Amino acid sequence: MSEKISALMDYEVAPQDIAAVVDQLLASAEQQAQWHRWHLARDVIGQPHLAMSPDFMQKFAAKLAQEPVVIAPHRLRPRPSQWMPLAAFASVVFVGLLAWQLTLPSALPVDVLAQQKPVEIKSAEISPYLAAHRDGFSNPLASEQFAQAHFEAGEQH
Amino acid sequence: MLKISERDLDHELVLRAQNGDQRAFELLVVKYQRRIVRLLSRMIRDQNEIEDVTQEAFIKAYRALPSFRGESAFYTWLYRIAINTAKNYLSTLGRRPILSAEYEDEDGDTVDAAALVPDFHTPETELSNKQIVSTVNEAVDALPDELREAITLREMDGMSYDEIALAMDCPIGTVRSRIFRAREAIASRLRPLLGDVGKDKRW
Repeated sequence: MSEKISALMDYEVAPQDIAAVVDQLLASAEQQAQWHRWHLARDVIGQPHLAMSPDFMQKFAAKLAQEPVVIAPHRLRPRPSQWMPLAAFASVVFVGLLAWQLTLPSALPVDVLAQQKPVEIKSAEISPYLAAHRDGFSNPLASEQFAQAHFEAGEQH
Repeated sequence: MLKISERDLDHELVLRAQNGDQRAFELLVVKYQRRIVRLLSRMIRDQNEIEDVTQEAFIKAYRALPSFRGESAFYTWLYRIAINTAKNYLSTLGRRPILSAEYEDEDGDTVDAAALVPDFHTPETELSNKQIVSTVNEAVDALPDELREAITLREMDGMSYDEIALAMDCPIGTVRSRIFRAREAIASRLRPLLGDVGKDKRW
């Protein structure tokens, strides 16, 4: 088990194992003492001139013990990792369905499309509306081409 | 293998602390104490003051833990608390923080503040620190070659197990075992120095 805690320090643990390894670490005073010694060694090897009082943690733990215990369950959302593949699959399925639905009308026989009554738009009815919306710089309808396309669609039939 | 990140580990420990386990918070303090001391040593000169402010910053972080939602990394959040704690401390003393990494000393020479070792006012602290540093270095030197190489690549060069396995031409399981054995060997030499004797004594 200690070997797994050593690997935990290096983030060399699978996401599904992290909770169990942390449980083990929290369950044993000796493992926590090792965690302390291993981090001390890490800091000395990586940063040879960095020094601290050896009893810093002892003093800190005594002070922390006087603090009211913080209880704020679920403030931090637990890792959603086990649902990630499912969520990814679900979104792929959704996009697939969407694409299928969107392409469905073009798959209909041509005569079905021909039987459908075209929507008639009389340009005279909508022109004041379009004119009003052409004003303004940031208006997408102000684009001549955009309005033109709609007129053509209406006048074809 | 899909692996966790530093953020995953910190968030797991925060989650436990938010559920009332103070030991989980202590494990985070063990992990970050030296990084915070190093940070604050750029603003405060006296070693005792640095450690007092570090302790205060961690207590403030503990009290604020319910507000930590995990939007940022734990260290980023802690960093801001530590900087603010130091600024408040210095302002109550009417002192200005040394914020730049470089400044001019009395002779007008440019000095890198980060390279300065904090002042030690207690000779005992200095002595025990020297002992710790020399004990760790001697322990590393005494390791069998393959253990020393593995732990050095990990702790000094920050390599992942995958990278070390490639560098040392061995399976990842061997890397994991070598690093663990190296840590055990170093820790066994540190144990008497830290006074880690007696049941349930953690630090």
